[in-house]
Amino acid sequence: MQELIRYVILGIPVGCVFALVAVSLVLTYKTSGVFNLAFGAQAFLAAAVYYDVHVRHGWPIIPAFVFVVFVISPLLGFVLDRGVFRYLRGVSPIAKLVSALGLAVALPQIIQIWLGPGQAFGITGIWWDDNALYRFFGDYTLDGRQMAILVSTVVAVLALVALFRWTAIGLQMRAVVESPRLTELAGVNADRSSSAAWMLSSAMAGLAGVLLAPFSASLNVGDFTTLLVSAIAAAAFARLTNIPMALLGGILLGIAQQLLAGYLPPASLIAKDLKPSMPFVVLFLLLLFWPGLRNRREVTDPLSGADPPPPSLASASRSAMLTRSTHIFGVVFVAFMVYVILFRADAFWLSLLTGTLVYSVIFLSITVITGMGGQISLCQVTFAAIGGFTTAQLATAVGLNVLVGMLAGAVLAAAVGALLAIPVLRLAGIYLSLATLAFALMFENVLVPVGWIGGGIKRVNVPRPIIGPFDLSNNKSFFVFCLIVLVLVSMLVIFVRRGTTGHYLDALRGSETAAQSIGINPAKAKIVAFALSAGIAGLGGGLLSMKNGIANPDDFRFELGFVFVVVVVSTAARTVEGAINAGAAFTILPVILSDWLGVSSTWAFILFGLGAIQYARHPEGTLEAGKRQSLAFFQRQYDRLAARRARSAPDQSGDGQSPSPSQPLAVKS
Amino acid sequence: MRVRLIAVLAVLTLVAMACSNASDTKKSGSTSTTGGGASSSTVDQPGVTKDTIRVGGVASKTNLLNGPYASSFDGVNAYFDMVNSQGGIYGRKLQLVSERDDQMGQNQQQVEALLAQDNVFAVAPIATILAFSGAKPLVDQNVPAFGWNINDEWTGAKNLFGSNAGALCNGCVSTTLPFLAKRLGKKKIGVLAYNVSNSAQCADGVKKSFDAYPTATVGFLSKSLSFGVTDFSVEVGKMKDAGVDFVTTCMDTTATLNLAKEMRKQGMKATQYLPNGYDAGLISANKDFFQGDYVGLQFAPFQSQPPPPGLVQFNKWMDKKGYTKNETAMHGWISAAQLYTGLKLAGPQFTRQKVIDALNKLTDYTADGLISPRNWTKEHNITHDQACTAWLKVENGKFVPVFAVPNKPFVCLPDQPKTLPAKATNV
Repeated sequence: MQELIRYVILGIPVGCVFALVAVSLVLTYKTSGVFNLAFGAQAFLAAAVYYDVHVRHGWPIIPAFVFVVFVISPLLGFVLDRGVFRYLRGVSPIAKLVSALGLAVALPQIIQIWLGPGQAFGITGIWWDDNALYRFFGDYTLDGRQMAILVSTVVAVLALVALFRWTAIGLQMRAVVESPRLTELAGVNADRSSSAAWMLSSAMAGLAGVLLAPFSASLNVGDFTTLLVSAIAAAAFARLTNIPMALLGGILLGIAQQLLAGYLPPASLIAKDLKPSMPFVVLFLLLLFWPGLRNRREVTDPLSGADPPPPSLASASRSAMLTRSTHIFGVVFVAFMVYVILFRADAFWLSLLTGTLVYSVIFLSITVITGMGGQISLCQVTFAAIGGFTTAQLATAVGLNVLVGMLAGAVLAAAVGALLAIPVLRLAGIYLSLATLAFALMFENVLVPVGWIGGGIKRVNVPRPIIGPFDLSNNKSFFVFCLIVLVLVSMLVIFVRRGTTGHYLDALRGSETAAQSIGINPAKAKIVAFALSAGIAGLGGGLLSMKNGIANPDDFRFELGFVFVVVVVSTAARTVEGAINAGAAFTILPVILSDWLGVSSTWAFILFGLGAIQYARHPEGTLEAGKRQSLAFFQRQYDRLAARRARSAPDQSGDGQSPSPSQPLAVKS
Repeated sequence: MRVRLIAVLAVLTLVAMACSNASDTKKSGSTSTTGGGASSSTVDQPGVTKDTIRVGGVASKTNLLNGPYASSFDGVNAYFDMVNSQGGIYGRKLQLVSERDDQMGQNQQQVEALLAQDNVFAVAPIATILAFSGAKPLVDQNVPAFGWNINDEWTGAKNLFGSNAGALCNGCVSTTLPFLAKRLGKKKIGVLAYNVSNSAQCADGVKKSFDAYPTATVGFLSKSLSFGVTDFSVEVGKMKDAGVDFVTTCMDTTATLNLAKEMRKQGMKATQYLPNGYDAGLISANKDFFQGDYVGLQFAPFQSQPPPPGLVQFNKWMDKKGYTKNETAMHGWISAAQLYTGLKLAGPQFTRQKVIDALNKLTDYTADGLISPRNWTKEHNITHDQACTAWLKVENGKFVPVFAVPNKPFVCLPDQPKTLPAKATNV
């Protein structure tokens, strides 16, 4: 019993660290409707500025703290609101999540460039002595860093509860999240409330950054990301809305970690697998079974029904002649490119462009789940990993033909996708996304380290197959093979999009209730989408392992799942060519930046991130938006030409009227 | 349409540039003649021109794990400056033409670029924080490559030359820590590791080492810590209860620092072995917590007295360029030194194969005293002739060499002997 009490008490300061992050996540969600996956990046920015002014420039602790938490962080919140999130009010939580993902990808890279190379050592906390020890109940000791977090978390929770319970601005901030238009009808300045909300939540992120930085030997965004994903469980426990519950959730999480550390044999297999993945298991279980989250639907703006529907694909509204021209041009262009790549490109470009094809296959899985299904899955990289590891293990350990291994990997990934879909489809929007994130983290922590799955310390080699006379260990043959796979998968995706499942998913994206009323089974359609998407990602993972010659867990880290989504949605999530553009951008843009323009290739991630921030304005993707504009331009030119011809041609209709140039000759359905 | 047109033009330009790069590759790989009058000779090798030997490197410059390995390029540049100031080699200057960033996991692609785009003769330095997947194209094309061997992919490849070792075995029995425990009179060992493969296997290796050479017993072993953990209260409590007096980890510096803080909090008196701790900035910023702890190195420490000739040159040329002297830069310098040695031994009509073969015949290579004698006839395998370490103790925020004798900074023991020898030898 004494031991149990000991672990519980030891868990409280640990839990306060989780609680601080969870409270911030809940605060942001409550006041802006954004599940802020960029929280870690915001906290990192605050910690970096604190390091700069306090350590590099020697400011005393108090001015440095005040400057970061009460000036810089709210300023960042203000800029984010004015520059990004103001335009997201009233849009779906998914769009907000994507924008936050974009920030999470771009912001750390910007900060890293600003910080420069080298390690940022020696960050001290805000307590007057970080190393001072405070003894409680005889045996329990806290140091200055822990005291700072404990006191700050409790004060922040009390202040926030008071703000939301007893002040008008607290109520207004919550109201603006639900419907800015209705709020403004009630005489509230929605812009001001929204700015205040973002400044407040950003200040909380700043506080967390300054308080958590002294726990790292050197400043590192990875530490903040790790903490963020661990604390999501505490935020889910609070149903993303209840601040005191977030505090409680964080503390319970801390206690649970200490109990596992205390009672499980530390060298045992179960401790090795279960303890590090505990927050993610808890998150997954909470999302599935916590009454507050089951079947939860996000609040939507009651006036959103008055908004116009999202625009259709640009290709759906172009004329038949333009479609034919585009197809002819596409075929000629692809043939020319293939010729150049096979006969003129050097080994590096051949490898790089093979990578483009492989990542295009993986990104097509996002076209299915996000573009067609309307869901954001953060575990596509995990399905790719399942495909990659299965291919490697079946080919190397079992001795199967590697092609069979690759197909088996795709089938296994599809099966896992379908199995995952069954429980998580009860969730919607960001809850579904969080469940996929929890799944990705569980897989990475529990299964990847297992020797017969991820290979353990020895990366598993993956051979390339020989198909008839074609030995795919020849890089040119392998390029052609990847091209064929991409074409087949693209055709499959187009076939599904134009088929019954695609139409069902379209209908479900428009209105699930309406779709059900005409007999569409949403669960079935979504399971098919999930399984198909997972299978495609698995196939891509197998191809990637084959290309690299090894199944490397580093190619499948969960953070890459964020980047994948960001790259695809920032180009075009709904079309096959969007996925291919994304594959090209992901592989080629960093090379163009570093090798040709001489700037750090990390700028590519900044550009992807900034592209994703545009998601709410252009949910079809920036390239698709550009395509629409260019099509409109071309159509105008065509109309002008047709009108000129009509004017110069003799009137043959007999009624003296020319055909209207503004009407396309034919419209594709 | 304009946007599309621009996009198409951009792609065509891109392809055209790729093609021109491909033809460049052929050109610079063509036969060339050395300068220098009578000793002129032809060399038909990629990256070798009549006045230059092109070298390129790949290191984790930017990455989420905060691995700042960019200074390995400084070490190579400083060494090349030294060689070039003396006229280069065979009338050619050594030139580091490309410093590629693997961004944590892109080193295979970057190595492919080094070989196909940058047209290098050899690759140096290599310093990659995660898996070295770039080993595959280097092995496939038999390119001499030199770098900081901290990944499993180096093992067994005859053309890959680590600056710290030829091959590592994370989970193998080693005499290193049992020796240290014996010298310090420690009896109970605590071992902490992350649950990730490399770290957990390293912990298994420590356990096996103390089982094989029982200078002390492992009183606490945990392989269940999650990456990024900052709280060690339960683990320290258990180690304290178990009477642990020596702690070794297979974790990063943030973990060792938080562990040290927790040990101090709970009043646990134990010495820590710091596997990644040779960083003056880290130690001076946290001197109260690392006081009395130990660091082991595979190269002669900067604090060696008297400094070996290689260290004197390192200091001189690093200072000349204003580079920061640290562990990573030293690995770059040793990498460059090994390449230069290989070229010298291969002769004026050197080829990649000749450089590799020449190095693999060396039995006691020391890089001018910077490393313990290395036998490259065996070094690519995980069993070596001997295991040598230069030991340092942290005292008042500074590193102080220990167990060394003048001109012999390394303490060597046979590799995997049946029993731990009573005495180690200094070399």
